[in-house]
Parts: sequence; C-alpha cells; structure tokens
Amino acid sequence: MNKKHNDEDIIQLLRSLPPISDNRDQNEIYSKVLKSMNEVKTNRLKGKKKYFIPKLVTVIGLFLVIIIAGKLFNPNNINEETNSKMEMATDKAGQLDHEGLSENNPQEQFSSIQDRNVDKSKKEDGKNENAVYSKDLKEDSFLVTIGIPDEQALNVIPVSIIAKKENGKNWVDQVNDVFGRINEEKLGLFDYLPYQGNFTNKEENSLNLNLENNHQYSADSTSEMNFFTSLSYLKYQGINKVSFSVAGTPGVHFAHHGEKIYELPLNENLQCGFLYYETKGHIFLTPTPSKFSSIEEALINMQEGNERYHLKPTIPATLAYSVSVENHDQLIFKFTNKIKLVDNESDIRMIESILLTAKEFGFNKVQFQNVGNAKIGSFDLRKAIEVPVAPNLIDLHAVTP
Amino acid sequence: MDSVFQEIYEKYHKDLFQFIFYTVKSREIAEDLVQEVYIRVLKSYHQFQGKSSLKTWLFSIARNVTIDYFRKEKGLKNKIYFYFDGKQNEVKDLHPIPEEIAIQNEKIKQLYQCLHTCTVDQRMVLIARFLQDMTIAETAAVFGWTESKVKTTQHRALKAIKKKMEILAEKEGH
Repeated sequence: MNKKHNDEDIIQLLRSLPPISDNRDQNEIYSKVLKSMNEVKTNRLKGKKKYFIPKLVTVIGLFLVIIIAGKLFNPNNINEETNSKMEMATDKAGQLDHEGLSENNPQEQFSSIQDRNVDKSKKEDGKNENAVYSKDLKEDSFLVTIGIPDEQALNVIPVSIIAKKENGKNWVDQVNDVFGRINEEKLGLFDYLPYQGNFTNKEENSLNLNLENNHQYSADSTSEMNFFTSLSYLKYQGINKVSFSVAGTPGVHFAHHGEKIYELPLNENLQCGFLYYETKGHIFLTPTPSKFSSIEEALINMQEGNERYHLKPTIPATLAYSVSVENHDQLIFKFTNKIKLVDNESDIRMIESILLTAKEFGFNKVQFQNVGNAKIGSFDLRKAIEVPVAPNLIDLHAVTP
Repeated sequence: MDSVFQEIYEKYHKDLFQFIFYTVKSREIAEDLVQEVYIRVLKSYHQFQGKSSLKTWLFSIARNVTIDYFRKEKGLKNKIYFYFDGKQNEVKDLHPIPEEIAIQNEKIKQLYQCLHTCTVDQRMVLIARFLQDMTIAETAAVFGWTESKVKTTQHRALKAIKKKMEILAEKEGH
C-alpha cells in the first residue's frame, strides 16, 4: 500500500464520503421545530416570573444594607467600597467590631436574621455538629456517603450514613442495601436511590457500577451531571475509581457527554467551598457549584452564597479573617477581631463548613485563632481541629421507609 | 406548514444535515442541531436582507449552531472533570460508525476516522469545500473570513489528515 498521500488524494477521498441522510421526514422535523420554539417561549416566560422575586429581594436587601451601613459607618469608609471583595468583607467587619456592635452584644455577632429562624430547628439531642468525624467511625461500623439531588435537581447533596457491619455481608452488599433503604423524600430531597444498577467491588478502592439497560441517567445533560456528581462523593469512603458497564458490557454511552465512558478516576479534593441548603426542616452543607483555585476564593464564595442554586452563605458576609498555612497540612483561620463563638447552629455550621472546605483543599487540620471561648459544641478551639471524614451525617433509622 | 421552512427544507436540508453530521459525527446530535438551525432561521428570516445569498446565510447559521454545540459540550466536559481528576485520555470516544460509512472501502473509513484529527474549523472548511463544493469565496463568506484564511485553514487541515493517514497506513503495513 502506498503510504504517501498528496493533497489531491485526500480531496478525492473527501469527495467520496457517502451522503448521510436525515431519516426523519419533513413533517416530523417541522413539528419538532415548532414544539421547540413554543417551549423556548414558555421557558422564557417562566424564567421571568421565577427570577423577578429573588431579584427584587436582592435589591431590597442591598438597599437595607446601604441604609444600615450608612448609620453604622463613617460615610468616608462607605466610599471605599470599590476595593476587592476580600478587602471589603475584612474592612466592614473590622469596623463592626471596633465600633461597638460586637462589644455590646458579642453573642449576636454571628446570628444573622435568617440564621435565627434556622436555629428554631435545633436538633433534639442538642448536638449541632452534622459532619462525620473519625471518632464517629467505630470498628464495627462503616461509612456510606452518596450524592442525592435536591427536588429541583439544582444541587447534589452529599449525605452520609454510618451503618453497622453485618456478619457475612461484604462492604459493597451493605452499601447496596443502604441505598435501597434511604427515603430521600423524608430528607426533602429527590427520590434518586438506589441507582438503576448495582455496585460490585472491582479491586481495592475501586467500584464497578453495572447499570440497567433502560437507565435514565442520560435523559438530559442535568441528569448526566447529577449522576456524575452523585458518584463523585464516593471518594469520601476512599473510592478512587468507578468503572461503568451496562447489562454486563463495559462502557456506558452518555449522550450529552458525547462519549462512551469506561471508567473515571475520582478526585480526592473537590476544591470547593460549602454553602448550606435548607429543605423541609433539613439543612445540608452542600459543595459550591464552582471549583476554586485557592481556599481563599472558596471562603469568599461562602460569604456570598449562591442565590441561583438556592444556597445560603455559611460565613457571615461581614466577618473579617485571614488564612495561612502551617506544616503543609494545617490551615490557620484567624479572626481579625477577637470574637466569642456561640454554641448554636449557625456558628457550628460556619466552623464545620470551614473544616469541610479545608478538607477539599487537602488540609488535615484547622487551627482557629483569636477566639474568646475555649470550646464550641464538641470542638476544643485551643487545639487544631481535625477535618471531618464526610459531610451531613443522617440517621438512617429516621429516614428508612 | 411555514413556506420559508418548506423552501429551505426542499433546497438545502440534505446539504445542511450533511455539513453538520460530518462535523459532529453523530446522527442524533446532527438531528438536534439541524432543528436548531431551522429555529434560528424561522426566528430571524424577516431580518434576512439578501445581502448574502440564502445558501451563505443558512450555512453561516449552521456553522454557528455547531460551534455553540462544541462550546457547550466543552463546558459540560469541564464540569464533569471538575469531579474527576482530569485524565481525559482515559475517556474513550466510541461514536458508532454509521452504516453508510461502514460499507465503504478501508481508505474512506480511515479518512472518516481521521476527520477528528482536525480542529472543528478545519473540519468544517474541508466539508464546505469538498463535500458541499463551495468555492473559496463562498466558504469565506459563510465563515466570515478572508479568502486567504480559508486557504491556510484548508492547507493545514489536509496536512493534519495526511499525517494521520500515513501513521495509520504504517501501522497496517507492519
């Protein structure tokens, strides 16, 4: 065979490519076009209704902030708000502390109006911690963390369960069993589990998910995204790779991804921050929709929240702090002005969201500095605190159908 | 049925489908994208002033729709790799080869596979020039480029395909 081609050969081959025809007829295409055009119109109308109220609330909120800030601050300082976000947060909070708010009422410094409402749902056992820590995992128990989409399929929430090891059952059997028993609706989430398929152990730290022929994970791009996100949380139990098959044949074609996927390695660190999502009396710490190149950026995002995804800030917008690194694996989170933390949901949530974020950037411990109290909840603030194993511990018995 | 739709369908549907199909190499995606072309055409036909030919206008819309698809696809892939460690080479592309290609000779099958060696723009230039038989000037009008840019892109595309075809031929030879 002649291995050399000239341009003309290639051009001739291009001209010989066969015509590929659309198998649909004119009427079918026309009706689909019309349908899509109508859907676009309807969606636009819906979109307008949907975003009008949040935008109005934002405008009113901003208006109130300006009025309050005007009373609290020296007007000269307000003019300096064109600085970067980080500087803005730092300066404002600094002024708050210096100008007496925290001195007069330190207990309220971290309880915003929305947080106070949330505090009503304080858990019966009085514990405000929600994440899983290494001390929670006993020898006879194991952790299952899995992602469940919220009811609008905007976020995929990592939910953790500690289950008792049962004799004669291997880890994967028990994981499949746990997935079958979760009642997502009781959690205010989307009915998602178990997967339309089954896990098997491939090798250590690796799972194979064999999907059913008619699985719906490729129905649209959101389903695909949520499916991948859901699986990505398997990393919390040390899984570093998931391979896929359909009815025993390796590889799954994901239409919107456009390619057949055989296996995907899981990231150990998601490089995200944590915001909170509230649904039907439950609050979940949820990874930010965006990935960040540094923990500083993630922390700024945690002060802002994400209205579009219905995710609320976990760190008060006015809090001033700085972060630094010690011994490679320890994050120092220093409150600029000495503060006293309160053992309530909002403060514990802030601490836990910072710990979880530190974990997603590869830190093992976080030392909080410039805190007036020695303890908050079960955290000893005098020492560096170990990052959690996983977020959002739930009691399986409470949500079993 | 809308008369604009009917006219365009009768005169250009086959060519538009062909152009999009060989760029995206998936029948399902091409079906969706050609529909999107009609949507854009029907929405903006009243703005079409005839400054360019209808054919040029339609293909420039088809090109934009296809480029938008690749942008979105790239966005989705980036989002997916957000959760995984970014080893894109572990994800294999196995779009099924359509029946029409499968029955062709080896050379044509090889060429079809090699089309993905080119960038999207290069691929579209080759398809416009040699499958749609557009002149350099027509292609330049569709792409909104100068004629010399069309020539350069065409040259680079042919070079990339040639190189890939030679590698494939060498593998077969051994």
